[in-house]
Amino acid sequence: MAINTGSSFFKAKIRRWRNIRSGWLVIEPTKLVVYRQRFFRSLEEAGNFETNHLRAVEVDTANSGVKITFEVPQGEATCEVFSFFNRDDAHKVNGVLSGLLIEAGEEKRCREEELARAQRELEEHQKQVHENFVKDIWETTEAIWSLVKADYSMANAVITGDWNEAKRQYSTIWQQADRLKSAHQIELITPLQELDEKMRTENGEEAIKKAGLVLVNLANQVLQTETFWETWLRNENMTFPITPNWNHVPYFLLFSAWHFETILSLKIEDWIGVNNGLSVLLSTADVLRRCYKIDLDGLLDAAKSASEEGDKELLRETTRRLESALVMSFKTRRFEYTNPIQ
Amino acid sequence: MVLCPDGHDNLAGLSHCKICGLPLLDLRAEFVSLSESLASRAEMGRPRPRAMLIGLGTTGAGLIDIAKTTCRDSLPEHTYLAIDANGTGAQVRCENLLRLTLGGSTPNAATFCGTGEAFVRNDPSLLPGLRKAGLGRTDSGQIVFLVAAVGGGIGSAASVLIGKCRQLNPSCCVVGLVVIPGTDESFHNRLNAYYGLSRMLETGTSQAADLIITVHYDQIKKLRGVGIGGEELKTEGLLATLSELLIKNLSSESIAEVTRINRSLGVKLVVPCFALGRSLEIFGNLSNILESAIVFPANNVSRQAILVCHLLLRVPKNQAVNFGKERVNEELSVLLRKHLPTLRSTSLSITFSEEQHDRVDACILLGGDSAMKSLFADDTSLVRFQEELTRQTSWETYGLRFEDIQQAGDTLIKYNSALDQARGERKEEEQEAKSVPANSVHRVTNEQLNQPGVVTDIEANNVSVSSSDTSKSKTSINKKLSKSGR
Repeated sequence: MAINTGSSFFKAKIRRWRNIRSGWLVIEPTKLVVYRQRFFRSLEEAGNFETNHLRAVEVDTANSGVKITFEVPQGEATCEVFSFFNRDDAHKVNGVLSGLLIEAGEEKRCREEELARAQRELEEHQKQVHENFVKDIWETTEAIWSLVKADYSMANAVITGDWNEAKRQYSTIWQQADRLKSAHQIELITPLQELDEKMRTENGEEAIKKAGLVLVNLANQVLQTETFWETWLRNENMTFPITPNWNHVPYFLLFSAWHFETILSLKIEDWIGVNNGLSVLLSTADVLRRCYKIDLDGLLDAAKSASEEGDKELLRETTRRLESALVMSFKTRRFEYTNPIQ
Repeated sequence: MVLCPDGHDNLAGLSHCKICGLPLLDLRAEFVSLSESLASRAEMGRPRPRAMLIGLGTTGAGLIDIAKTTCRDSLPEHTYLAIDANGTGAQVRCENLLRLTLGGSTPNAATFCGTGEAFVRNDPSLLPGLRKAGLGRTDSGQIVFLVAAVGGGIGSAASVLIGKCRQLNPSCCVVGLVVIPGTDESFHNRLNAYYGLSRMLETGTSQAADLIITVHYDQIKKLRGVGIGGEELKTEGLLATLSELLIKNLSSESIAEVTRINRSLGVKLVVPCFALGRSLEIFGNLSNILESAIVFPANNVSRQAILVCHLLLRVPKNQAVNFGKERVNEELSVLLRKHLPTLRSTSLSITFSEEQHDRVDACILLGGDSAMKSLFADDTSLVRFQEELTRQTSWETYGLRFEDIQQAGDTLIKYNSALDQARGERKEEEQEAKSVPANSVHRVTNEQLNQPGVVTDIEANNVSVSSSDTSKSKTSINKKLSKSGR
């Protein structure tokens, strides 16, 4: 057997390797092959080592040899000691293998960098997906807030007999309903058409009743079984928690509605209504704090004590500040998610 | 199973999630409750009623109930509200009536005026209830007719209710139809009436009524009227029909005229003399009907003390030709000259009904006598009450302080003094008149008699007229008006 030097880039004559007294060490790009040479017999392969298991190489000047260390998968590293007929060969082998080691190290670093980059890209993508999702949630929440506010403001305007204001608020309800429809197929056309007739004829009593129906319809749609949250989880193959998510939106809707219900009660001096409203707001505030990162506890406590004292002005001021805090949260759009890869 | 906001399964009945601690809420039920809450305010979206008939206390609420049940014409511009405490056992006749139960579901015995006032004042459902009835915006055209038996604990708190009405509509006009307890009723009933009426008379406060029509329970029991179907009207039926006549005849313009005249003479309390359902076929003419009314006042009143008179007349449209304002004014003048020698001013309001019969409803409101006369049937009752009053050592039972009683007395005395002053001025005017040649006095009187009066409200079926009285000159009226700041 002749040594195929076409693919090799170095060979050195071995004086001793294990029990072999004469042979060749051929260094190829991917492996080291040891050939035994016997008298009157052709070369025969006595062993080979993959270069990617190469860990270290050192020159044994005294014996004109090299000591090469290989990694063994799931095992201890092994050392192979070669001595060569030619003293220079030891240095040459050392040089070639050191070059291979450097090259392998470089490759490994590149590979790791590539992996890290891919990981980063995946994380970035997921973060972007989450951010888009949360942005969507916040925008939906804001639209719901605006719709509920307009609904109650319209009812209040009807009660005070200000039909111009009532119609202005009614127009806002339509705008927000369109926004919800285009974003999430939340369809409020039926109750809005019923409301439309009452607004056109300025039938205040029926308009207020229909305003209540708009609210219930909105709630039913938000509470539908197959939520956008579930669809999104499935589509994006997301299994880890993110807050706020669609499960939390109905609670925000409930909070918004009770907030404006409380304000309406305050305007008409219905203190029973005010106290009922504040009780629900206090119990729902936990959800807003933990899921929407909006802390309203202090303001709600202040509102509660103002209500107990019957201090209308203080309560009005507190609800105004509470509303400002909520509107501010639409700008900051806080969110949180847990990445299982980390 | 109940899901928490984070989707954890929980057993029904838990208040918070056992895993994350978030509250567990029945969202669908919460939203339905919200919608119902909004719908319960729907009545507040109704068009503003021109007038509200509000009954306070068991008697007041009962009368409103009857008035609504027996309401002859549909009155779309009116609302009826019955306010009473829970557990009074009042009979419910009309289902389609706004009702407000004070004190929630807890039966309450607010027997005394002080506790009744606190009870009404502190009830959180009162303002929303009044809003539902149609109050809520400043509107000088709105009239509140308040019906209450002031001898009761809740009824005696009428002034508190007036204050609440003015809180919602500071410009509304409040007319109180108050039932004074009978002579055989307990001391506390008479004390309630004494205190409650005084509070309604307190000038310069938002709790004062613009006009108080007082009827004495003993008197009203003796009176009779005829209903639309020819049925005999007794006590409650009479009062309910009277309430209806008042809200139909007292438009915001005519009531403004009545209160303007009253205010110029310091009058707030008036006593009604009414003839309800009087057939023209039987009585022949208006004079006879007015005669039948004036001889049976619904409260204790001295004709010699009367300073103002307001006639409210409701006539079927088919009789309109016989009830021209000038003709009515003439017949009224004759009647007043005969019965009310000290009268200073009058007003007249005629409305026409669509009914086909010939029955006329007439109500003459007489004002100028003292508050004590309205409160007590006779001097003996007054003395007995005063003796009881002085015997009291503690007012705690009644929910009052001694100062409250003192203030009530002062208010009534102040009211009477103002009337005495008005009468004193009249005597001076009479003396002045004596020094003027007789023919000139006669000339002025005739001029006034021929005056068509000031037309305050003319509509297709509503004519309201006011004219100066025969007994004083135009100059003296102006003098009096200028003294009252108008």
